[in-house]
Amino acid sequence: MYTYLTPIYFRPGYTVLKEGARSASSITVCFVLDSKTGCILTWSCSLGYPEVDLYARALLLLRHFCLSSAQPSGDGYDRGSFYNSLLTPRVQIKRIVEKDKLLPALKWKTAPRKLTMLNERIFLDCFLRNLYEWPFEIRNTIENPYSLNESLFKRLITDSINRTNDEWRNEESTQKIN
Amino acid sequence: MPYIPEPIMGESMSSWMFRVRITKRNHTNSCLSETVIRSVALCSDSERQAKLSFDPDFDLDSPLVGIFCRVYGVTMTYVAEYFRHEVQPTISRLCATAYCYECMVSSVRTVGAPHSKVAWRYALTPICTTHGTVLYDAPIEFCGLYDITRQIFRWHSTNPVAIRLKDRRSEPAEALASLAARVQTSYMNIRENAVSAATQSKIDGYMLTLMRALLMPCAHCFYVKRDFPAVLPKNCFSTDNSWYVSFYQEVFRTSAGARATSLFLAGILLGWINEEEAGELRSINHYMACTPRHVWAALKKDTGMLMWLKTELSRNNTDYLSLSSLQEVPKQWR
Repeated sequence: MYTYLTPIYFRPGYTVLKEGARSASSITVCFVLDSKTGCILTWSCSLGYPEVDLYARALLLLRHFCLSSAQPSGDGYDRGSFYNSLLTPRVQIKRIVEKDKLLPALKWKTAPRKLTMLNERIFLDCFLRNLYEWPFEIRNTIENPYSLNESLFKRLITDSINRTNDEWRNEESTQKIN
Repeated sequence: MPYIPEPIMGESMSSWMFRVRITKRNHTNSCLSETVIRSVALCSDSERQAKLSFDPDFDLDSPLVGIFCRVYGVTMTYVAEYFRHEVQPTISRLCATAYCYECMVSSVRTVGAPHSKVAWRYALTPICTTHGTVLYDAPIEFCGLYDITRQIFRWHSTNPVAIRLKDRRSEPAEALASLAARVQTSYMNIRENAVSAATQSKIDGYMLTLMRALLMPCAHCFYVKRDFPAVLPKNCFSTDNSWYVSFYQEVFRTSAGARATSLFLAGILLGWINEEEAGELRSINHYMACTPRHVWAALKKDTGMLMWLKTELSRNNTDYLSLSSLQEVPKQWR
């Protein structure tokens, strides 16, 4: 389904207050980018989770998103659930010897590489703008833009991903027309 | 229909609602009055959520406005006719403390109560369109009060801090206000002439970007102390803050005085204010910019600012305002 997935690690310029925590903390967010289309597929953040698991949790969320129609929320994907899911039959590789079937050719084949070259600077500009330029509906509920609460932060990130993807798709279609 | 006071020209919906409630002698403690809310059961979660995030100046479609109309016998078409505003860069309800004292005084004389205007909520209009003066700023603590207009009026009339604000009415300050008002009028005229809402939005974006850049700490040499009064939120423009959050968000949190000065500086960059006119303001701030070259030199001090500014301005290019509208642009832009 996806040919090249790229993790983008990012530390936003605001702190986030986790529900039940005493003080806000600076967090790292991992975005999973589809390098072919330039769309951000999922994300996960280090809010209460170790940073080393970010990419794995984001991929797990992507898998969940692809298999069901759930919306990305960044929740419920810790290290435990990651390893548990590896043991589920859905991802287990069947180690059986296949008989009476034609084997694939032993010649090397290269996968067709036709990537849309992402212009990193343009993508970063678009991404940063959408991450920090908040729509009025969201801004109207924020008292201090340097410290956000957890639910608002998740809403903000989801919203900015949607806007970045929309903008990027529009840009791509415009380029195709030209 | 029972007697309902007519909205004053440009009045905000929250101000009018409060006047309606005063007329009906309903002084309970909520924006829409607790008795009104309690009289109608807010069963669904969405209605409860709507109450928490309700902005009484812009949320015309909120269920709470429907309840208000039902209780006071006002039709929704009547409310929509007066209070449906076009989209503009707007200050959030949690930071909206700008006001014009003269407008309040005039409405006290005519209708017996101070009123607030919806234009005070717009980030790009820090000058009162009626009196041509820079708007004042009340302390942030007033935000969220159900009778904010009345409280601000009382505070301005009695508080010594507020009385000191009248220094702003000195002659050079008035000169700055008149020049900033000219820039504001030019911007509003361009906006009115725009053919579509999308173009209008781009014009807003262009002016807002200029204002954002000129409000950043690299240009703070052009401001005086009273542009950043103590009534602002505490961490406003702190050097520890993220550059991007400051760039995008502080324009909506800073004072109307600072926004007026940034509008004046934008006028210099756009060639709407000439060197001679700008030079008159040297009496209030010796370091005030007179030419576009001065302003660009200040912006250059911030690494990456010019690059980011160019990207943002290019995104909002229109036939009315574009990169070519700016005077003496830096060499790297040519």
